[in-house]
Amino acid sequence: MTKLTLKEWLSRAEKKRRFMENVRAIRKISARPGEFLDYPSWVNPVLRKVLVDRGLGRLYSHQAKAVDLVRRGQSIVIVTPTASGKTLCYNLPVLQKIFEEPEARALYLFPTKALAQDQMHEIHGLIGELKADIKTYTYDGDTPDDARRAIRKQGHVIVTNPDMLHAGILPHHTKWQKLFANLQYVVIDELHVYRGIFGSHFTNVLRRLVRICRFYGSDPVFICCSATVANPGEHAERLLERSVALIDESGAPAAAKTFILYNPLIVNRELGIRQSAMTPVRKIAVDLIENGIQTIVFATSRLNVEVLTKYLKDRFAKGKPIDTQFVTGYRGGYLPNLRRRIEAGLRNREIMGVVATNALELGIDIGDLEASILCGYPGSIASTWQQAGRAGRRTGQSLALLIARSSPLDQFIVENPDYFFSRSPEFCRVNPDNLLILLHHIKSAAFELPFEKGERFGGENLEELLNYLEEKGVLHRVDARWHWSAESYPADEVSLRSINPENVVVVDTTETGNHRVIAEVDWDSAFTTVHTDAVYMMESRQYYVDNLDLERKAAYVHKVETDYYTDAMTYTNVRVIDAFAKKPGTEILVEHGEVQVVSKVVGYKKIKFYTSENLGYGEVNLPEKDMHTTSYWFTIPRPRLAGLSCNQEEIIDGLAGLAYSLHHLAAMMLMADLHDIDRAIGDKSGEWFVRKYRNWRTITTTPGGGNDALQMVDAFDPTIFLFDAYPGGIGFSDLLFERHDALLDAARQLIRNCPCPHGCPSCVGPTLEVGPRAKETAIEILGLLQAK
Amino acid sequence: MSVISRLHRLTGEDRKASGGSNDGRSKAEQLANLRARIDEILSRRPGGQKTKPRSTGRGGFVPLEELVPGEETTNEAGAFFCACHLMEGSARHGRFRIRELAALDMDRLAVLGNDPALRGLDYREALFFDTETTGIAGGTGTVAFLIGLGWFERDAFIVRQFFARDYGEERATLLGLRELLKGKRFLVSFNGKAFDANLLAARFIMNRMPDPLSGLPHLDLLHPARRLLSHRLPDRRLGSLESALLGFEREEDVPGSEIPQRYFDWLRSRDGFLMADVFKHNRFDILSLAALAAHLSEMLDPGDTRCHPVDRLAAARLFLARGCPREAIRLLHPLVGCASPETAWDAARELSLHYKRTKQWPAAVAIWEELVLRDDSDFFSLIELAKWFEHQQRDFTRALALVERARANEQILSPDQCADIVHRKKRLERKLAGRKGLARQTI
Repeated sequence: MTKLTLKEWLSRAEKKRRFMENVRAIRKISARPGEFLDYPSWVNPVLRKVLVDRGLGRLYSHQAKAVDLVRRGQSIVIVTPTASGKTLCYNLPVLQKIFEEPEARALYLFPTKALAQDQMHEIHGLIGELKADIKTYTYDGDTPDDARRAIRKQGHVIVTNPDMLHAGILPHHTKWQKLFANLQYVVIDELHVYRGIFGSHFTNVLRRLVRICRFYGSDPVFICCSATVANPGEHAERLLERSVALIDESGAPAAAKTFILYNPLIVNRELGIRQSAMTPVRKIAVDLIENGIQTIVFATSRLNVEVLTKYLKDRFAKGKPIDTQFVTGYRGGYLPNLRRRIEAGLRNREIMGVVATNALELGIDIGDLEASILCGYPGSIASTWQQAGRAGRRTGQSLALLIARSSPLDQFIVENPDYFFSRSPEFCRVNPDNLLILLHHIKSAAFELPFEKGERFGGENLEELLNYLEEKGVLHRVDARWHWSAESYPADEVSLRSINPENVVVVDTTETGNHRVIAEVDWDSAFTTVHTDAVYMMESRQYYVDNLDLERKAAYVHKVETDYYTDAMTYTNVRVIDAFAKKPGTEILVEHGEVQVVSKVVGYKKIKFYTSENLGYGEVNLPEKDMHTTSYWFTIPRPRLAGLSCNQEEIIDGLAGLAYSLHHLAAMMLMADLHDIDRAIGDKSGEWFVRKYRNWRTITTTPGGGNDALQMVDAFDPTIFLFDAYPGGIGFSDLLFERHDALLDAARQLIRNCPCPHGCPSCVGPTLEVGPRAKETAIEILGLLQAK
Repeated sequence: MSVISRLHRLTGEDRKASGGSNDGRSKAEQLANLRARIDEILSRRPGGQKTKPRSTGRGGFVPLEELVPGEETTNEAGAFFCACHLMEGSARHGRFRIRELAALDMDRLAVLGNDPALRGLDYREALFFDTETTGIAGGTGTVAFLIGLGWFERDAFIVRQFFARDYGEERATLLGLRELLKGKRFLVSFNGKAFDANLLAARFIMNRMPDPLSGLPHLDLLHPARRLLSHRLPDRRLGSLESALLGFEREEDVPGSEIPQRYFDWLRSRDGFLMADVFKHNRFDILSLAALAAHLSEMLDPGDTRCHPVDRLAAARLFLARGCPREAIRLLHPLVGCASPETAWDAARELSLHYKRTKQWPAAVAIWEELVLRDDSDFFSLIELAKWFEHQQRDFTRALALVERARANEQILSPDQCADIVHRKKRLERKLAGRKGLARQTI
């Protein structure tokens, strides 16, 4: 068999009917030559020589622009594709500055430890070639105690993560006097990762960092890198709270790329179930590797990585030997040495196929692969492009192939190619002034340095909050200063990844005498995921919850083999407290504001795997939760609905279906998890709300009532609420309010383009859940909403 | 609406604002419970603690000055309260008279601190110090509100305690410390290297002042106390050392863990009773520090035969570790013949290993042979002798015989010792075989 080149392989594939009938889009992105500029005159000749010897004869135009702005003291954010030499944009000015002023210091922040290690590798190499006395260290939870003192005193470049900065460095800033007094640059990579809760915390950590720098008399320049999102400049300015110059025109050359969106065959039209994405991934990957086309496969979970790796290994161990074939897995959890070996094997083409989690999506150098297959949508368009960018980083022809799963997001992306290929629809949002988050950081900041009267920290009235904390006894005021006045160490009370620091531990009691904690669930999701009698899933194993003990904050589980999982039934009542903003015009009331959400888990459904059949119900007895948060909502006046050709029950089903798709699309737009946002249908007054009970849906007035409270009402102006699922809100719903029209457009496209007949999990939700006419009605309601 | 009322709504402190909980008492209680817990998380105060000052149980409010002898002191940085206390040479602290504490032997302190810089100094240049702080977690939010200092003047012992009556007075206490240090040349503390000096260094930085402690020799008694006394004590707290060694019992002492909260309560109430106990606690700490220095240096006196043999053995080991074999040998020699067989054996072992290290083979071998005579199953000595025959005498046959002798008691040996024997035996047998082969070849 003669091997095909990628080009030949593609033209053959494009002729195969069976392949093409699953293809939803093919885009050919043409190659682009690089734009180069000379090194600025201020670059040290030794540094320039090392870079030139590395093959970097000139700088890409965006690099030249970036280093020039940084040199002039301007904070920047660089948004360019994978492999466009982003690291040089910060390493060059940082190393140059240390050459000039050996006392100068820089702080590099990466969202994870693994990424920090990889970047260390890179800058170490550069410094090695420079033969300069520049010391670079990672400082994280793994740093040995005896090394820490030297690192604090001598490190020129400290590479760490936000969690360590928050809990390990800032509260001990006196030990880091040298760093903070001489801090010239702060590098923040993967800026788009800092969004939602993590981003809201992170802004506060930066506020604290800047405050400490001010104490030591330094004022660093921030150099940030971000993946492509809709609002990188705005996001950077919100995070850093200062002016940030945006550099988003890449001068790096790009290879020609063919991007294919592929939707596997439907196997059950009624239920909207498709062939598993794994099947076409396997077939196509094998075919490519057999042809000697170096391929990377991205899977969305560790388990899928292992399954696919095993399949490919079996295939190539048993199959006809081809001289260069060799396949391997690659994921977090592999030891660093093994990872380095795999990276080297990819660079010198001893490894022809690799199956990875998103650990390889980020800036690790593995050379130029030819094909990238994405087994499932990675959760955001930004990640999709980063993973696709793994193939054909600089020259030649390359292929990126996204193979969708059945989930609504996957389906929306492949069925709406324009959405994917046009300008990024994804927004990063933060709300650093969420009172609960802000308050935690005010405490940490007061611990680090007493607050002075007239000082500013965040957008709220600081003095009121300081007085509040004084009342609570954690601060003590003397004249015009508030001092930390408690024994505790406030940074330890907060995780940057959550609002409520309380967790519920999941204890596996399968083996008597060997009870093990297998997971931690945050307090809020514990109510829905590990309530008594739930089936809790972890790493594709099922555990039955024997008891959720809220006092002890523990859920006791044992291993089971069931053919179902459980889905908690929650009633949610939303009451508007205060509307901040209202869209002008139209009869449809579109608003954004503060709401009170009362929710209670009342029971659960047993759902059969694969078929999503409902196997039965159970009761759950948990206290109700009451939360104030921010929401976006819209109300459809009753008279308008009267024109529709359906009864009230069907209208409610239609609204539920519409809310289902809006919820999924909102999560996509915000790059958020589904549970970061929640939805409810009710009326604005909070007097009526829609409640799902077993297999029917009803409108009721009493929030906590039992079955007897069922009644249908006429005086009901239906309102769909999409709200931040965290107390105080984290900035999601105001974006949804701003993007109201775009959101409705997307919903119409999603529901219209879905090939299912009456609704499926990819559009309005499973038919069994939302009723037979939900899809149809949802489209009609959208028509009403969008009518001019 | 104000930030605080919004905050109250988020935390549920504002109960009235919430609706939807009107269905039965138990549910409302559950909800209240949940809110209380959320509030607890937010403020991170353990459930039982109250923010209002606890009752001191001794009646009403009393100004500090009436309970603690001392006065307000002022310097360029402001005012603070300075407590003064003088103990005459004839006064007692536990089993010591103050004047007995004063005669500190600087050579021995240098051994204790493993710092030759102490050798040329005078005990009157020592500053004994201990701080009381707002917590033990460390970090820049922890403040040393009370700095206790002690030194000798003639044969009396002076204690001064610099107290920041409020956070605003910290700067003045630090300046006071700096000024006092001008007349002192070294520091003595208990765990001060890791804790107090570190914390004060941070406080000086926070107040933008140079740190006067960092350049001074610092004798931290925690480490030598651990080496010299670990065989005697359940823990290494200064408190347990006091009663066991210094013959000093504290009455109604305030537990260290309560001290931060006492200070926070003081800040709000200014009730002198809250602090008086803390001053006393700190003063005893300083005194015991001086007494401990005296006790430890006594232990290093080779001529002092009152010491318990076990203590003398520990002292000898410290001397060995510090590279002072002469003193160690002076201590060890008499111990080899002491009444306690374990101590005698340990002393003999240390001594023999010292001779081995310095290649004084006859002396070492004499000890091992003596030990084997006393107990013919003595693993240590048998193996040391075997090593000596193997490596020094190159007499593999006798070495092997000794190893076999050690093996005879296999049942009482540890797995490591057994493994050692097996290994050694194999090697010796190999060497013997090689030698025979060689012999055969020569024939």
